[in-house]
Amino acid sequence: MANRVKSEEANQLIEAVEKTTGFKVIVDTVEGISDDAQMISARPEMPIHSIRVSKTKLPYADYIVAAQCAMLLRLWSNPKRIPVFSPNTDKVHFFADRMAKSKPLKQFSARTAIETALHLAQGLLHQLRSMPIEIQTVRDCRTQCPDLFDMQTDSVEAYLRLLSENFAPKIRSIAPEQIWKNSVSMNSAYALNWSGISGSTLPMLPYQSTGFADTAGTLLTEINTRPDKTSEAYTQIVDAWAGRLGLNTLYKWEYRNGHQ
Amino acid sequence: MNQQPFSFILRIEDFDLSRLPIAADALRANPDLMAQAISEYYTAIFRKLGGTATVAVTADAVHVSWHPQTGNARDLLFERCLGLLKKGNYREAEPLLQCLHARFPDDQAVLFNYGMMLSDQGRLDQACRLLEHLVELAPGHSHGWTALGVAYARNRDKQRGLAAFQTALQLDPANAYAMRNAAAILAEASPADAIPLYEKAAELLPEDQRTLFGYGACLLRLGRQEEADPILIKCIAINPLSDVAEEAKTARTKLAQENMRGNVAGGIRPDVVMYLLGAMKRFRDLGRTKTGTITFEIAMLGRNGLDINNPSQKYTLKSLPGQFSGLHLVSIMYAGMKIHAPNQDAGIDLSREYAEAKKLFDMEQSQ
Repeated sequence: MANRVKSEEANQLIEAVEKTTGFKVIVDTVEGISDDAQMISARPEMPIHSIRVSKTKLPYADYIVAAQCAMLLRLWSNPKRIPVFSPNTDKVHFFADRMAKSKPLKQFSARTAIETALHLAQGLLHQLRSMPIEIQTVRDCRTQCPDLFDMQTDSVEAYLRLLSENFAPKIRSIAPEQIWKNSVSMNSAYALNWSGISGSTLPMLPYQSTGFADTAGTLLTEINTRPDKTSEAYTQIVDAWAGRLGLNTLYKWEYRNGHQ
Repeated sequence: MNQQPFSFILRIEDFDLSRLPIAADALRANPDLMAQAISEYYTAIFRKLGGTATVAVTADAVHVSWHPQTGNARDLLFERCLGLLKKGNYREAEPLLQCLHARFPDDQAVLFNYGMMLSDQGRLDQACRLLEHLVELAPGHSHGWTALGVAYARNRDKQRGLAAFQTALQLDPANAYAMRNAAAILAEASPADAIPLYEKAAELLPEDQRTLFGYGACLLRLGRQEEADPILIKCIAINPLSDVAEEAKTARTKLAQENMRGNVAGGIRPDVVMYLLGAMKRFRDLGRTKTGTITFEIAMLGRNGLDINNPSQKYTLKSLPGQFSGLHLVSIMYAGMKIHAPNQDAGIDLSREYAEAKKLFDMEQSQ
């Protein structure tokens, strides 16, 4: 098959996904999404992995594809037992109701407060599910795709900018303290990871100045002590983070067989 | 050996906060954080170059003073910039070029590279000013005229752009970038006039995506589809996930559909009718879930383009055994979409063939 992307290293990762999982990878572009890419992992009723790169992120598209493939390789390390993060709906609603009563959200009507709290709680869980594996894949790509380092830097730094919007007054003023702290804690681990890779002190500046340096180190240690490239290591890290952040009752793991 | 310090002052308001991995709103809300971030940003840049750097950030300006260990500061900085630009690393090159330009405003190499970088970033007024200054200082700088022409053209001043490219070509008739860009402007009014320039530019720049796309698109406008298609294919292969590749894919899709109809002078394709009829029968037997799986798999494969004018059976599916031609797969997908997503655009119009196939299918059903 012809190369799907320009980078040889990214093409090798695509081929590795196809070999490991037994499903083709289709790479193309998509408009109107805020994330870097939309990835749909194959399942028997949709027997293709689809990676759709945002048209606004084409300058570092090859890195995005490489990162998505690295993620698939970790999640599919055991194709018969692919982890699926499943929020406990009742408990998430209970958590959101409690957050809706917190000071920053009291300024809104009850309905808006609950909707906002639920939205923030779901965002927090998404972050818990995705950030550990994002950190892992940043590392994977750094070692497996050295030629993509400049693209990786652009992509990661753009993401760091987005994450640090948490410190902007408009966000800080509406986020309940617990949600804000949990979110910033996870972001600080991402920043510390990149700081270590890039050798730059800049990513950690906002986190250091607000007292999150130790938290960043603690969360990152949970990743460092589980270096296996397996889905099991990933779920253990998420559980460890959730334990430290007090989020472990809000979700459970389910597992699916990729070929059935 | 010149080891004079290299010092410059930049206004804070001229500092592009998007160079930092911290949100601009967060920085503006915290002036101490902003000062620290800018200071560390420049310190890191100059640390990489060796020597020592002093960076002081005041309320409205950044003061930088760099003492290189050895060598000429201007040359060291400029060599570093060129290395970064060659790798496409504008992010790191920009502050160095900005510093060099602040210190050496008439340096031709700095004007050329900084002007081109600004132009690539869409900062066109600033780019035009620097490049105009360059060609004033060096009227024989063919590549300078080319870069200026590109900045003019991007700034929607095509007449001045064309004039600049023509000057560049007078100075250097083998300037392939001037050829390519002049051709792009000429092609808008008269594709035939642009072809000789594109031909030569494509010969000189065989791996340049923009040149190949311009050439292919120009050939298409002249109705020379058979020559255009391989050029567009090559253009896409150079970097499949790029803006230019997107344009080339769109052009090829349109071309493929025109050719498909062209083969029967705009009439109904009997082979497609048979493919559709076969799909309808297969789907009747397979049931809705399996039909959906097959349809979605083809739809996903189709995102990368299916070669519908090549009869060879070069495609396979995970959800359906056998080997298929591109047109066969598209026909199966079309029939599947009529079941699962009848209001969704299939990306190709097979409605007449579908109507014929449906008639045959219904006749068979009623027998």
